[in-house]
Amino acid sequence: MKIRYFNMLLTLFLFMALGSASFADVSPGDVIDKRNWQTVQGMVPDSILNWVKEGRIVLNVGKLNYSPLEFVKNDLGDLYSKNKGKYALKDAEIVDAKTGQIALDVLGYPFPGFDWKEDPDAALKFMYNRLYMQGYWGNVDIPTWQLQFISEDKGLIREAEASYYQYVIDGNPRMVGQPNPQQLQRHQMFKFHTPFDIAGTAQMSTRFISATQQDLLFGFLPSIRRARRLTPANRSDPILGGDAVIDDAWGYDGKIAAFDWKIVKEQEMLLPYHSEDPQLLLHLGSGIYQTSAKMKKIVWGYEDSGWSGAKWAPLNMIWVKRPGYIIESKSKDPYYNYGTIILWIDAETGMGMLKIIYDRAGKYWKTFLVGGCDFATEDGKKKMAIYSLQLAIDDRSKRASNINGVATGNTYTMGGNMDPSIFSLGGFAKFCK
Amino acid sequence: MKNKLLVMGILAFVATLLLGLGPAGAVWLNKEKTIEMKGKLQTRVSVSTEDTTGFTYPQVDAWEVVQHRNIAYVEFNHQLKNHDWSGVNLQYHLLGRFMYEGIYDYGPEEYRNLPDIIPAETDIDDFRKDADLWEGYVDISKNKLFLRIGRQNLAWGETDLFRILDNINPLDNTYGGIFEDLDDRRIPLDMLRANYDFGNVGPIYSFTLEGYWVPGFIEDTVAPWPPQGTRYSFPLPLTSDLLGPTFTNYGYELVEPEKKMEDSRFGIRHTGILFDNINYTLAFMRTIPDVPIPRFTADFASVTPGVPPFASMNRELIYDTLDIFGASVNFYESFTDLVFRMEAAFFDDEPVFIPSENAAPIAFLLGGPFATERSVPKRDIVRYMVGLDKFQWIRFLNPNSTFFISLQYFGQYMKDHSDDIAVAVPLPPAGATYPKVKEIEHTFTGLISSPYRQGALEPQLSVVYDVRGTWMFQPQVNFKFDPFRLMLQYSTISGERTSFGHFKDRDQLTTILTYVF
Repeated sequence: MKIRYFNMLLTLFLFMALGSASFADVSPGDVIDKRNWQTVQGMVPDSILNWVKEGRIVLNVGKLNYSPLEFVKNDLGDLYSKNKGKYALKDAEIVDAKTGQIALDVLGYPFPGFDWKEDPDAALKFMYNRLYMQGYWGNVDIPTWQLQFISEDKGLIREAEASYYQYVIDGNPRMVGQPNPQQLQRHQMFKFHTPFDIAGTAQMSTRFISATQQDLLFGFLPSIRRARRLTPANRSDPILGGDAVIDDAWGYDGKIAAFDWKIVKEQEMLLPYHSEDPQLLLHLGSGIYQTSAKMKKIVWGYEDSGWSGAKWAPLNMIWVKRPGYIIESKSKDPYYNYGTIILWIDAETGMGMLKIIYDRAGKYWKTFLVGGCDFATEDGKKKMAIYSLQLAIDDRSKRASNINGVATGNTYTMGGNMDPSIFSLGGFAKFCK
Repeated sequence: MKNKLLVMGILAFVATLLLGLGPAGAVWLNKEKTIEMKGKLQTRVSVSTEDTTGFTYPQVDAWEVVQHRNIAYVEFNHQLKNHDWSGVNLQYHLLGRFMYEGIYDYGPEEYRNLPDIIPAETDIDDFRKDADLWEGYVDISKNKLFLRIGRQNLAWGETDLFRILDNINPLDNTYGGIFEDLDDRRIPLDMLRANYDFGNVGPIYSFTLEGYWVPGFIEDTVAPWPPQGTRYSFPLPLTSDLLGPTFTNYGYELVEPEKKMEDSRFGIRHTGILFDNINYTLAFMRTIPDVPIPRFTADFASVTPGVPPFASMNRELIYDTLDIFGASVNFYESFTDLVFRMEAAFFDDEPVFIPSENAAPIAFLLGGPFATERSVPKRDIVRYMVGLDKFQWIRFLNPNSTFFISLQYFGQYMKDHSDDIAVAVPLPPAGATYPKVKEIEHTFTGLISSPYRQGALEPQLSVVYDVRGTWMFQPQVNFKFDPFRLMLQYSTISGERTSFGHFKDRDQLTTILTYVF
């Protein structure tokens, strides 16, 4: 009897030990630095663990005073789950489950409630859900955002400021039922304002729903004073020569079908979040929402003279235990400059993310942090799960690039009307010098 | 006194630079962030790397400073109406430019003593210093209509380095010529520009019409003619070089359009996209070419061999309007990952140079036929370009970023060609002959560049080859260390004296230091 009882206890102990993601555990309020890095082993990727070990960053473990999942559900309403069974995947494209034709006017999550262990397309579905949640926000208007280049030991060395506009056709509730004969997904435009030598540099792109049709891409270069046709294929080229590449924006800004995706694990993980409380979302009327420019400011390592770690480190973000997926991905483009990419991503929102990038030879190279940041109106009626931090750290060159979009001083307006004619050759001219 | 002002100016410039250390950025002049100010201060020094030869004046030795150009741009942009997607958008843009070229004051003696060489008509001050409202325009847009009214630059076409349809604004070739970036040479014009986006029209996506009008009664700016004695002038012989020391140097007269409506420049183009990939343009414009055509005139008193039969001779440099009809296309080809660009244009009745016609008096004195008729012959010319752009990984050279590679072939076909058509720059040492223009001409260009160190270092190499045996190489390196930019560039031309080969003795090393704010 005693031996049976002992065996049961041993079995239970072994099951708990082997079944858990790691032996580590942390609590809100814990500060993880080089003295106690072991406590987060297994909860963060090795690259971040090494940063902590080396004293380059410190993780402030926090707790969210709200539920991000509730924010996603509030944002999407019944479109969080309504589309179950409506769509399918064919050659990595979303098609109508009944007709097999390319699906148009997809609103909300196209693939709610998948089982990642059973469904080989689970990762693809997860990424499409993430994409269409962003599409549901509608058009995006960011009058100012900054691209910052930060040296690990010298701090901020260069900054450029730009504006960004996105006109969403597929997935935008305002566009449902509108004719879309070319099967466009979205238009995008950004234009740099400073510094003087790149002021006026602009880019306009059009994305098609079809997985095989390449983007239509034009760039305006002040040095030639005209719009120039650009190749859409070099999405692993750095933005302005920095550490983030074109596809790194928002965590991943390429065509979902351009990559192979696979969920390899589901586990609890520490993900960066902007704040324990949601930030203020302003309602501008008519279903248009704007992030407040007065949101909590991220303090960077280079802004704190007492900080001795990496100058690119965000000092006052919190790291929150979140349910997450570990997704392995790889580009189908044989010339893509990244090899395997491992995502540690928030399973509920798809927003907070750690993107671990290996080179083509399989060696670790960079980490891209996307910090979750959720917004709510003052009356709490509208909630949105977005992101703020977008930071690419090149561990070889010890430099980082920060895409400072949703941040103090900037506003991110979603859901407004936008003049589609600006995303034409004629309209592009309005933004050019 | 002048030196004191110069020293104070340099000290002020340096102080501004030192005070402005840190990442470059614009200055917002109001809390709503609707008025911004930004600009750049730049100093550019060029040193010749070879002795000048032939008819270049002045003759300078290698390793002499041949250019010290200082320039400041200050730009204001004001969004008058808050960003509004549905209503009228209104903003204005002002760009002031201040320029000072120092070699005429403290450069080599050859440049300081220019008045002895250059014709009296030339006011060297135009090339020594300048202050201008360089650009100033208002943008008005509502929905599909966009208007830009004021002093502005506008570029059409698909070409780099050489212009075919990109022939709207004149170029200032007086301070760098082909060695200088094309956009830095553009001279803004007072212009009314409008475009209208029709959206999708049948199979055409982004159907756009654009037009511009440079009112002749307001705007008569043409490309400035670099007088002899300035570094980048054409190597034209002094009359005494041709006819002996007893002939004094005769001046020239710029025959420019008058300020009248009939000399207006204008253009219209239609652009669109077919099959979601092929972007095409059809265009017509009336413009004024950058290089005026010469015509020598003389008052013939009598004809006696060996004795100048005329009391005076005048060289006219004539700027005249020219009509251009053209088309261009670009598309992306996914299998090769190439962007293809093509352009072709018909230049209607373009003035050409035939020595016995344009330079009749000179031709006569050098033993040619006697002719008192003044004429400028004209020909129809077709110019065309085929180009491709490629972003190519060359990882052993740069593992982080692609190389941008751009190749172009330019061709020119002259209808009704004859063997006496020439380039109006006589060949040394005698100056009695001119390089011929062929019925079909061919030029190739290539460019390669790639950014390193987060874009802080960018090397670039440009190559131009005229198949008649003329080469240009221009390697350069650009450095960025906010708020400064530094460019080091070497420009060299070798081969035959044709096309850009007339500047084959102007090889130079250039350093450009820029402060941006």
